[in-house]
Amino acid sequence: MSVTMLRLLTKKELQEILRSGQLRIAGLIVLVLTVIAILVSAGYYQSVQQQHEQASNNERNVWESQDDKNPHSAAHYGTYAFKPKYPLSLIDQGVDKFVGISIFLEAHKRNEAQYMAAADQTGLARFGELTPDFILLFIIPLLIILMGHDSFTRERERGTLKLIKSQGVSLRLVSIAKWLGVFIPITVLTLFIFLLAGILLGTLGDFGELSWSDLLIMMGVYLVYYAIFTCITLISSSLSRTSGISLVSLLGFWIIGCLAIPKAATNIAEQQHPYPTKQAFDEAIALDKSKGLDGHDPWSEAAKKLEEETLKAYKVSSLEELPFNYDGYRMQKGEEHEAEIYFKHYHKLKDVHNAQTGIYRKLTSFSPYLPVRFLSMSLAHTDYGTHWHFSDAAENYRIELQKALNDDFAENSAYGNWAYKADKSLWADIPEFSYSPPELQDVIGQNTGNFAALAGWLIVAFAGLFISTKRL
Amino acid sequence: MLSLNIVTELRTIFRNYWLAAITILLITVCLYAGWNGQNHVDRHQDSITSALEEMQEADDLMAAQLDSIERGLKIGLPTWQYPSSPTATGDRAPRVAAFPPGNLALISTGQSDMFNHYVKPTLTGDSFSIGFTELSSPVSLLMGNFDPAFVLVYLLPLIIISFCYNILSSEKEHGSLVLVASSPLSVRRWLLQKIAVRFVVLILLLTICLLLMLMMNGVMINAEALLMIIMVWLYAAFWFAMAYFINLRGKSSARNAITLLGLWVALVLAIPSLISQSASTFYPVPSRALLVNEMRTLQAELDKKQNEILDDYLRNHPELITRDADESTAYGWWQRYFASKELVSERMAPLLDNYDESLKQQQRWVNRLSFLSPAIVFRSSLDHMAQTSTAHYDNYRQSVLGFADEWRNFFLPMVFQDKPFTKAMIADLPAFHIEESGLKSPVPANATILLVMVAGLILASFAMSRAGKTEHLMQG
Repeated sequence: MSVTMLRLLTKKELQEILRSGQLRIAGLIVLVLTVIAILVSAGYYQSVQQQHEQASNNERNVWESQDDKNPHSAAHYGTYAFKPKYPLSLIDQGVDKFVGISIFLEAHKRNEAQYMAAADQTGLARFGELTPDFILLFIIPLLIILMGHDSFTRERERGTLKLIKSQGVSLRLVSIAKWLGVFIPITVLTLFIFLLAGILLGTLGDFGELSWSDLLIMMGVYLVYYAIFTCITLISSSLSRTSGISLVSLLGFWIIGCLAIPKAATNIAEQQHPYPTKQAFDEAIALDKSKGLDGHDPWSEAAKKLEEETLKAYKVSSLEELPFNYDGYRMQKGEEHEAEIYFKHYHKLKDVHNAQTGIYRKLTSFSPYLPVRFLSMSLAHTDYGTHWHFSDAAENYRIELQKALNDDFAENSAYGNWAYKADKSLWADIPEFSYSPPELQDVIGQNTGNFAALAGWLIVAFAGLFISTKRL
Repeated sequence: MLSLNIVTELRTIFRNYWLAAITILLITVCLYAGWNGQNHVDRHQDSITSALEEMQEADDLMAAQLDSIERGLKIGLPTWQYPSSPTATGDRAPRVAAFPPGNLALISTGQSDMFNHYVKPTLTGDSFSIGFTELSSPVSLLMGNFDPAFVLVYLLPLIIISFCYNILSSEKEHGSLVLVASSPLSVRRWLLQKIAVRFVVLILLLTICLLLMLMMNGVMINAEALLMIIMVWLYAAFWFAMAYFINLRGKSSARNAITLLGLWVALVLAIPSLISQSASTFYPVPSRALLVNEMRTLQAELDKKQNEILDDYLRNHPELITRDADESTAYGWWQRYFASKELVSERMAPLLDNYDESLKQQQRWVNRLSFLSPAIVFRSSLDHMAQTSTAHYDNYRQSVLGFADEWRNFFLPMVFQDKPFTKAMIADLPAFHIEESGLKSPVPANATILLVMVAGLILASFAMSRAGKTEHLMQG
């Protein structure tokens, strides 16, 4: 009985929504915007991906075609690591345009990723861009509000709520039907978006291997987000006196949850855990470096100490007697010391980043947008965490590269022989930099807090809906 | 009748809880946003101040060291770090080329969270590799700030909409509109007066909030600050005029709310993001990744041609030839170094110009289409007055590049003629200042656009009611 009734009620709700001219227009606009966003993003990512691949290949060529030269000259000449794009960045470009795309890997120095795309755009880009994540995160919740804000107020304004009650239909059933009436079309739209993205990603070769499970989890996250918004919309509709008040309050909720709280979170995070300025960060590193061993400076105190220790350890009286070129050895020791300094300072920076993330995470209880934003970026590998992961991988590669070059210098030449040139085959022998982003289980592991917050919101939203419709 | 209507409206507003709610809301958000903005400005100002202080200390130390050197005394530095060496001083005693925050900087964060506020160009550093982007969390950049610009551009229209969406429709729904119709006042004028009263009340409130926010944060109330407040009035006037137009159409309160909020979404969110997307789609910036390639290939090429380069360079700079370049000395080494640097810079210049040109094209496209959204127009005025616009940072960047050349040109003759840097020269070191001439204020044009929009909406409303399209107001 109740299943048939539910089906009938849901059908009525769906018909009402689908017949409304306003909603049809709104739905059509969203659909058109979505298709434009996906196609534009696909074009953009395809070209960026091609450019990165081309740049990586060219850079490797440049590296390998160096002539015979001193390995330390090659170390200074350096090489570049380019950050690859991943398929799901088509759907969510996350923080990608606010982080650099390439890191210069050279001797003695850990460099920041350079060339963020946002710096090459007008200030208007800070308003947001028409990308699939913009539609998924901001516009579809608005569509839900538009569809559902008058679900109950409409019945109340027309006086049909009393009729329904007098029919003896369970109000809970009516609420479930209304919920489905809004949620089903939204699910269809979401399925369409993800299917379109999936097909594009499957057919365009340049996007790399698409993982359908990642895509499905991402879609699941968005569907939960929409389920929450649907509940909240219906709660507002059941509590409001008129449709206008319901709409205005829902928009208030939307703007607080999706815009105001995330922005306030930024300010709180920056006030409580400020990032150092670029100059302060660089100067702190320079200061630490100046106190320790510099591979190029054999006269410093640290260098003298290393010299004594090495002579003692190898039980020889002069550097010439060592079984390797001491210049290369000192260079490597200096490199290790500098790497430690970078590790320390970047670790501090990462602590600030973690503390800031903690602030955002605390505020997830006030905004369902926040956990979804972070989960979506993580799954798309366009979050800040992935950027750190990439930057650390590049640094590890840099350290290995320096070691390989310094070792060659130390092992194949005599002390003081700065004229030593390594054969150019050495450049090709050093493996190319390759990077893989965190695995799905790691992504999920790092985001348990966000999953929990999202689950919490879902439970509270359904409980709220249950309570509010009971009191109708 | 006119005064009676206004008095009644004022009474309605003051008796309604909306006014109290809006007052509290406006004061809270304005002060909170202003506090956030000021915190941001303070951090920038502090970083510049401490950099300048450090520079002053370093200069004092350098003066003392030069004094000792000139008196033939030894100082505790390796010789290549002696400040009397122009290459050492050119690199180790750079000036702080700072972009201090403007008087109204707290109003809009603009691009100020993305770019840094001082750099120190050095003699041997490449101008094209000076990093202008700040070390900020990309998450912060993505989410944006809760600054006064956010309150004014995004929240203010919503407050106006919630204040005005049902002025006429609620009268109609309560059945009191017929009473108005029986008075000698036309519905159009009656509504205009009601909206005008609400406009004046809100503007007064908002102006008090803004002045309070500015004064609490120590901002000087000058002509520019007043101009900023006038721009806020104009932006608010646009939304009031829109509410007037929508009210006059005589639809239900719910319908009005949907239409107005739909317009808000379109004008504040959708159109700006569409325009921004189209700007970067139609005028894409060349690939930075490929630029890296070009730069590397160029360097590799130049490494192989060092000697030739020096000849070419000295041919172009005969004033620098004082004796034959000698590769075996450090002096000859520096000559080759700067010669190849100049060549890299020259060859890189057209490539880098492409980026500036694309950005300019994007900006022109955005400016051309900005009339489509009052939010874009208003926001760009706020950014300009706060001195945090893209144009301001571009102008700063150009000034720095000019200064980097000036700095290099100050030291190069000494390097090439093998002359020492002396204590007396400290006073002659080039000082950095920002060239303001390249900045054109978009505010007058933007104010005109907003005025035309407001006038257009009011005229359209009049035309609609004159065409008899408001007669249905009385029906139902």
